[in-house]
Amino acid sequence: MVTPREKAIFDAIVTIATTELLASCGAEIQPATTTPSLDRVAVIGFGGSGLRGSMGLGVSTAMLEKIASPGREPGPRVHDDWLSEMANQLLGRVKNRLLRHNVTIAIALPMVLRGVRVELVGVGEELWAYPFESPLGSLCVWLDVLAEPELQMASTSDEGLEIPAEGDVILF
Amino acid sequence: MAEKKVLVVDDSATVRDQVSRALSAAGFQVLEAVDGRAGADAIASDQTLSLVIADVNMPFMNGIEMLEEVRRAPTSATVPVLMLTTEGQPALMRRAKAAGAAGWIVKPFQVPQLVAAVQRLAR
Repeated sequence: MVTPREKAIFDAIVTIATTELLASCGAEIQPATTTPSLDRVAVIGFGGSGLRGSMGLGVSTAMLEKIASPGREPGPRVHDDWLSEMANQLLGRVKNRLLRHNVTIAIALPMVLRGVRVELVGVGEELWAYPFESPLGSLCVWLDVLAEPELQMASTSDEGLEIPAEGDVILF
Repeated sequence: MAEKKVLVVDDSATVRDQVSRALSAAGFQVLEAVDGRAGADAIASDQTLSLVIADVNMPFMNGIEMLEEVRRAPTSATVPVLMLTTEGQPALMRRAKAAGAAGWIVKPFQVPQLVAAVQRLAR
């Protein structure tokens, strides 16, 4: 099971990663206190290094229609593909930040769930919800985390580790 | 002068569209492939490509596996391949570099930096 100290690291990483990702899309978001009901959801599995589980990203339709894929013809397929890519980029950010805490995970391909309405239940020890709100609408990230005894999460971030940041260009 | 031809290999239509618009505006001809297998086939069948931009995590064949296959074929061994991915794991970057990748960009990309890298690497 994840310790409270490890949970706090996840909380900080997910909150920062989500806020920065949405800012890159032009949406300023704030943590919210209530978890919205979600009808546009993408899910990605991950595993490795004493840790496995899944991450979900749900966005209200109103928010999705306002920020998804500017410059493209709007529509369900475009929105779903954008949500899938956002989930991929969000878990990528989380993954790269976990590297600094000595945790390496591999991530699967994102999957968009259509035709469902998702309401998170049983949020607690191993299922963590991170609701956000903005003038554009609401979104929620959740992590379903199964930690194994071999998880060795460093309590401090190793800032000396050479990991490229989002947007970095490295020519070999 | 003929436009330089760039192949974008990514399973996300959103990313393919973003890259395509950025490079088309900079004067490149852009082709698209939806996964690593389709990308490897497209590279094998077109020896006039100036550059390939490839994601890492894709279905059927990931971007590094695609790169390794492309490097084994005499007809495509030298086409520059630029990785565009959410991945920042040093071990993956080392594997891509060893396989002959020309560079690595972490998503989301900035258009001026992407265009500058493509202009520098396209043959």
